[in-house]
Amino acid sequence: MRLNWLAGLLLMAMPLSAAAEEQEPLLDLSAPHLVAKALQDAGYKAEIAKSKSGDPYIKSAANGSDFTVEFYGCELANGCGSIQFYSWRKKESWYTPALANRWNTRKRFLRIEIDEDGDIGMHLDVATVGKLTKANFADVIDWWSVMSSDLDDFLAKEEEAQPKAAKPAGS
Amino acid sequence: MGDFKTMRLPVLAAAALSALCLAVPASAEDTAPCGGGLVCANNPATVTAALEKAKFKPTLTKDAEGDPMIESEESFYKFQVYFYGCKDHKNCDSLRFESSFEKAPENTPDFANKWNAKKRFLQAYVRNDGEFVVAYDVATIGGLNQTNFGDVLDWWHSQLGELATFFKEELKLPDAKPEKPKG
Repeated sequence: MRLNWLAGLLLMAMPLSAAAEEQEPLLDLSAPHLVAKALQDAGYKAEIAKSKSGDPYIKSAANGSDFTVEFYGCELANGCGSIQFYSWRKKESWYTPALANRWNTRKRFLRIEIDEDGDIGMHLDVATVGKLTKANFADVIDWWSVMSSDLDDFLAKEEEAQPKAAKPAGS
Repeated sequence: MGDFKTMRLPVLAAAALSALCLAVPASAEDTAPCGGGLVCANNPATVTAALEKAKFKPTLTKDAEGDPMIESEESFYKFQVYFYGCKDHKNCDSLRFESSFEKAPENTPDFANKWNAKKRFLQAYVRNDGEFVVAYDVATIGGLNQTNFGDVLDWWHSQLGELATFFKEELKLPDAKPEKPKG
């Protein structure tokens, strides 16, 4: 009986030290179905789709705008090493590298570029090796969501600043 | 021979200014204590310790506004780590890794756009004063565990290496692959 009592004491002590190490629940984001679940748990829709080349990605949305999550550095043994939140805005004549530079100079987290089609590409890369705390992943999604809608405000202001009777591009 | 611009020179002091004029979302400040073993911007010592563990040589100092700031270097370039979303210089909610390069004729929005279209993690831009800057923002609310923050540092280091290659190839610096002869 005495031994059991001792063992009980040890059992009581052990979870305490373990708790100090692992206070935060960790999210494994190394595979599409895991990221889809994490997005859904954070209150976002998430649907797994396949790219033309057969790679899985996630379709989701924030503030009424679609975005995708793509997977990088994927290996059979370890899963994927990083993800990228991506969205885009359809080409306008006034989308230029100078406009993208104005955004990238002043704003954080959301890297934008004018792609070869003239569209704006929006990117946020996230390192996922080692897993993320649940609160940190929520923070990452929040940054994506806040900065995406900030970009739309920025673009609306840029559009207002365009000359009203702009000449067609290339004339 | 001596006329070749062989190096892109990093800029140190001026970089401190760049951190000041960025817009931040309304929800700043991280008041939750940094969990055991985690890395958080609201506990700068956890950031310097992780940098040291990864063999960087960080020095914790303050930016022009009095918020924490770390100066460090790796094998490619010198860099700074800025702390954002602080209230009274505490409870910061995110980090920004930044490296700057001195003004040069090739520092154009098109040049930065090339990087931003092809590469990952680092956001490149040309400031009004002509300096070229790359930045990597990291959200730290909830904290990052040591392995994940180590991975963040790996990305920062490896993408600065990518940047060195990008400079060489795009600017046709001496070490770059031979290009077509002129004319």
